[in-house]
Amino acid sequence: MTTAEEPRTDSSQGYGALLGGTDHKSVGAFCLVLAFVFLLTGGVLAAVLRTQLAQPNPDVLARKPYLQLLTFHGSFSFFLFLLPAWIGLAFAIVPLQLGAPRLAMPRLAAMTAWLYVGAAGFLVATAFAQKGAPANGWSMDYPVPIHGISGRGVDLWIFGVGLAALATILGAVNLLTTALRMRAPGLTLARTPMFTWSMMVSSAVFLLAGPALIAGLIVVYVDHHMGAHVLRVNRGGDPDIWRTMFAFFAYPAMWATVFPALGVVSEIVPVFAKAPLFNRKAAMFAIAGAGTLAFLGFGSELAGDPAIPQTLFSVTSVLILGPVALVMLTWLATVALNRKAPSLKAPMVQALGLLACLGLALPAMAVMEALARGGAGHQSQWWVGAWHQLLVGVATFGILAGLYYWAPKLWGRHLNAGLGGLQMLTVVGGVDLAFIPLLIVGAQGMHRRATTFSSDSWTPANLVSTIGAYLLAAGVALFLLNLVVCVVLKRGAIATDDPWEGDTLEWATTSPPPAHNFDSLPEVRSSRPVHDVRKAAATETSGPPETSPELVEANA
Amino acid sequence: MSVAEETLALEAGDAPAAAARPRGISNVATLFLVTADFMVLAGLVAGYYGVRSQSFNWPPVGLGTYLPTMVALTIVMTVITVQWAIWSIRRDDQRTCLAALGVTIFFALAILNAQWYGLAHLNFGVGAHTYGTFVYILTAFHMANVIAAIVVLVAVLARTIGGEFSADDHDTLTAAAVFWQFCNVAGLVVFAVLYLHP
Repeated sequence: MTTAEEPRTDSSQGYGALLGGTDHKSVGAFCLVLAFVFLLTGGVLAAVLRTQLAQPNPDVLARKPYLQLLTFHGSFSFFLFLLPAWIGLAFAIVPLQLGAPRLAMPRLAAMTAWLYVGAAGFLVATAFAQKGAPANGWSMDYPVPIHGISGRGVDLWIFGVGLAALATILGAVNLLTTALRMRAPGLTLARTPMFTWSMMVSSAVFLLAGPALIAGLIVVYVDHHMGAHVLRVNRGGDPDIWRTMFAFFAYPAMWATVFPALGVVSEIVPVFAKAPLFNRKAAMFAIAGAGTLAFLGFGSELAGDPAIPQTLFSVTSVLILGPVALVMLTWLATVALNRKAPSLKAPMVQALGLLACLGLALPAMAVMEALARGGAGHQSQWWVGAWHQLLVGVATFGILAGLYYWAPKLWGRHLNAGLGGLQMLTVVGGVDLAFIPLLIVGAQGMHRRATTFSSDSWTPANLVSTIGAYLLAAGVALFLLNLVVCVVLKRGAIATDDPWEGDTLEWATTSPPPAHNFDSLPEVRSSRPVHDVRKAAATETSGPPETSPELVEANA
Repeated sequence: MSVAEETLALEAGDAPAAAARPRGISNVATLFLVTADFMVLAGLVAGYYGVRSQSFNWPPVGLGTYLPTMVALTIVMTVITVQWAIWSIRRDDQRTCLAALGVTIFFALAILNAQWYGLAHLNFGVGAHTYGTFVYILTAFHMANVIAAIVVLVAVLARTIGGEFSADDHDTLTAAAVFWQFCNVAGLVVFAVLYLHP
């Protein structure tokens, strides 16, 4: 099955299919393209914001434009990058991992992609709205917008975020239905590949948390646009209704963008360590447990609200770090308990970078969740530093690692490993330099949404953070350059069908796969069906087979 | 043909469109969609009780309950009529199924009409007070779902006329019924929250 010829082109996989096709690989690629456009945009905005905070009393931006750009940065980065990127990657990969010919609902998948485009249109349009773009932050609570204030930008923001939430919910429905109804024979839930499993958990979280955001947006829209007073405290309302609904969405959803990154590394480590994932079931339970705990900790984002039982949420939001650390330990054990050193190919190098970031993010999160208020709490720069270590250093890094691993399968081209190594070092350095100093100034009392500062003692940390942000932006630019040169311009090395000697079903088809994904499927007798086939073939060449999971031919 | 068999049956070069749609996808997907829809309703109801605990004069005096009660009773009737359609198709009785679907759609339109009339004749606007805001929001949420369900039921009715469903193959009909039953539950929850336990 292994070939090293020019990747075959398929009418369903050309650039035209990106716009109008229903093939899950094209739809996934479409979502990824959109996501990377907004990764770049959000990253440039972050660099501008950090330039403002590089020195005390700067005059780069006034307060309102700063808060407007901050709102754009948060909205773009989460709703138009992280969400469509994971949904897009899952659309492309999950059916292949399940041995399915397509997603359960291909047209709904295409609609999901276009809903993200609509969301992007509305969010970009806020820049041209009457009274300017909203300056209320990505959580629209600084302050919660009320009638007659903030202009039409808030209305456009509501539609944009609402469409992104709807797209994510529909994507989650599609992925869950696909995973439950379209698995290959023998592929039980316990044998489900780790990436697909993590996407199932994340999809369940999006399915249950996303509607809370939509409910909240309905209330904010009626209040802001139609003159109601549900959120106005002196008219019988309460702004905490929106804040609570947003927290019920945001806290689990932010974690749900981290779980797939754990899934990606849980795929990569065993393949390059040439060993099964240590205690795979524990890792599966840990990801599912973290998904459950993500709901129980949502109140930690409301620290300071007297109606919120702070101790309860401090405990539950610290507890979630346990299963995440457990998954990390399964990776380390997989490598440590193996006699051979892991093969440091491009995806494994990215996974190591992610591991370094995760190792630093977990203690930062633990301190923040335990203290909740004060210098290392949710209203300080510590919040920004800790969450960005997780969302950039783990969630975003996971997408990059996933593409190093699956680009050869999806597009038949390898990303450049040398450039990948340089990019990994740049991103890890950028994450550490940009976000660890924020923990320091946060602990010293710098507010989470400070638009300027005057304390000289904060200057070195803020300057380092700004340099780190530029470094991070350079790392992301290197990745995008790698992707464009190797995949779009087709300069990358041509991939064989199974270039990494992978374990899961996506490596049992051609690179790139045909429109119907599989001409034949190996029999699934474990969580590593393609490994089983290789092992059986090796046994056949060296002697009579004891157990031979043979290929089930297409027309058998 | 299960999806696994479908996958294995695809020979090299076959168009995927030639493969049959795997069974049960509509039902599973509808259950997930309904779960998400229910969470929207739960969020709105939580918001309602959130402001209720803060606000005085709750609910406003003179709120009529006759029309909402009639709507609730109509909803209860459609719980039975849509299930009647499912029972009929399970016995391969397409004519009765068609009649049951027709009656369900008729009642659904009646519910929509009554709710629209009720909102148009309320003596307070959306922004009058927080209770009024939630009367509009929750009723409109239910109406939006009823409109979506009517579209689905009409599509299913057309396919029933075309003889597409049988005792062995009626996944889409079941999915439509599940969605309609969700609308019913949502309607009864809205009725209970706004009028029985305001």
